[in-house]
Amino acid sequence: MQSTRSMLRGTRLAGSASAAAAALCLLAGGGTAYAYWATTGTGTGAAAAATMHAVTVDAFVAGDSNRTRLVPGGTADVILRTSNPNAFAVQLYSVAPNGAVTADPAHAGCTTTGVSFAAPAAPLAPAVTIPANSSLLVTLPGTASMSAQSQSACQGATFKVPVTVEARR
Amino acid sequence: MSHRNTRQARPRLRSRVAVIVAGVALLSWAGPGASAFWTAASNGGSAAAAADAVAAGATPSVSVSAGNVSLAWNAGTTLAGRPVSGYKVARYASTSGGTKVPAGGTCAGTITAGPGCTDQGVPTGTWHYTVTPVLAQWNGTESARSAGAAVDTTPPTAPTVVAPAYVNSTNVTAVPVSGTTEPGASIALTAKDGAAHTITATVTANGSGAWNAAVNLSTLNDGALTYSAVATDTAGNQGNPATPGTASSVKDVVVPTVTKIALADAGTTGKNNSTRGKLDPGDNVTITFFEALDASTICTAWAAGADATLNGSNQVTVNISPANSLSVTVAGTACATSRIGAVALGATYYGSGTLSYGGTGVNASALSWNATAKTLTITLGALVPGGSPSNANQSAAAPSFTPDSGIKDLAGNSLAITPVSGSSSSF
Repeated sequence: MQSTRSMLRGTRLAGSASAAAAALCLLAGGGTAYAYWATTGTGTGAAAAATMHAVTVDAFVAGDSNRTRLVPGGTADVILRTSNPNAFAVQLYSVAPNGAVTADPAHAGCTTTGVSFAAPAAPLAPAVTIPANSSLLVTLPGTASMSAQSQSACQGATFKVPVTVEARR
Repeated sequence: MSHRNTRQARPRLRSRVAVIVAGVALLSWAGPGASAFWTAASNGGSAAAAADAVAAGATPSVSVSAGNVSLAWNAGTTLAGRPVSGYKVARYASTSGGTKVPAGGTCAGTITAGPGCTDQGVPTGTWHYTVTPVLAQWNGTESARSAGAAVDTTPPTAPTVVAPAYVNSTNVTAVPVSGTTEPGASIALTAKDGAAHTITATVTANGSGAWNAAVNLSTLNDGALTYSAVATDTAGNQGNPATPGTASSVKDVVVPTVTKIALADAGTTGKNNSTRGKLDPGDNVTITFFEALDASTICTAWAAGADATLNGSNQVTVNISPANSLSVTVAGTACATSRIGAVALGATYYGSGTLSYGGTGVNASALSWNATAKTLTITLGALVPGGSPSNANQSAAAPSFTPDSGIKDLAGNSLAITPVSGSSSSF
């Protein structure tokens, strides 16, 4: 009997261990799966063991400027300033368009900008790493293009290019 | 016993399987989960791109030809140095303000060639041009206005043309043709002979409108020549070629020659008391020329193409030198300048002293020119006291004539001053 109880306990113990392992497995696997696949959302990611804050696209600071400029039929660089609020470095994985391109207020007559933003292939190459708790000016070479329909009033304008960015650790 | 052992072995097997399953599950789920990336997406923000701008156009330079204005300018670029795709050209009637008029011709619309074009059919006036570089729909800043392009579409009238009456051996290689037209105008001069051979020349009038050309007409035939001149003004307007300025000349480059020299006794010319072979009043020498001479080159008082005679009292003195050379002296009151020459008589007519013949009235020596016969005749008048002719009768002999320098034909060709022998004859 003793041995039976013991066997029964052993069996129950084995069953409990299996259930616990399965639950742990589900919990851990589910968390990592969420962390891996979530590419849109509120800007924060979740991980099993820590929280990764969203990388933000910030306002430019003095000295930030485009090195190349658009002309009708041409392409030029797009720049963005990103900040990494995390205590660890992250890789800027992708930059995607997020709305219509508009001209700065000083060029209100530029209603047809002719400007479009071609998202670079993800992951960005070469890789862009944003150090921990840092802001970085990122240049995306040749990702802006201007059509021949760009109005004359667009000359000299700075264009606002709405984007979303995704960072990964 | 074996049944009990079998019942004890099954739970152990289940435990082992459960542990293995749990381990496999942990390895297969937690492992990949641990190796996955942490990722986070921003909730928006803006990147930036910047536009270039077309630089201001370069001020064009202009040149005018008739109603056409040619423009040239430096190529335009954007502020970043990229080339523009074209240009728009316009003109104004003033240096500031005024109405902007799109240029025409090859400057019409947006031109992509160049940088340069020609505005054609521009109306008369002074125009100032601008260039606006464009790039697709972008327009650069219009250039500063050019210097004034003075457009004159009025063609000049026919120029006046002055040419010499004769083209002769002296001037044929540089015939002076002149005239007047608009100041600075270009003259297209054409000289043509009767066989339609032509010589052309182009000269430019000075600031007063006077023009001069020296054309070589050696290759044109002798005879009538016509000149026609068409002016093109500084604005490039050409006068009507159908109504040019004209003038004419006669080309004669044949040098006159002496064809005959003959001494004649007065007996053969109506004088009485004349002895053949001796010098007597009324004896004469006639020099015949190949063509009519300009009589004014013999005696400046004579008309160029008319008959003329000097036979007044003591107007003409015929001298016979001891060497039997006959010469003529004409009073300055009769001819300011006279050119005749000397006739070597070919025989001994001289006797002694100063042998001269002059006289008054009907007895005066004479010098006459017959334009039709192309002859110059020297007739001895009365013997001037102080000399005597030879008493011996002279046989006929061949005289020779050496003309004075400066005798010319009507065309201005000079008579050679080399001696010319005549036919055998005598006084």
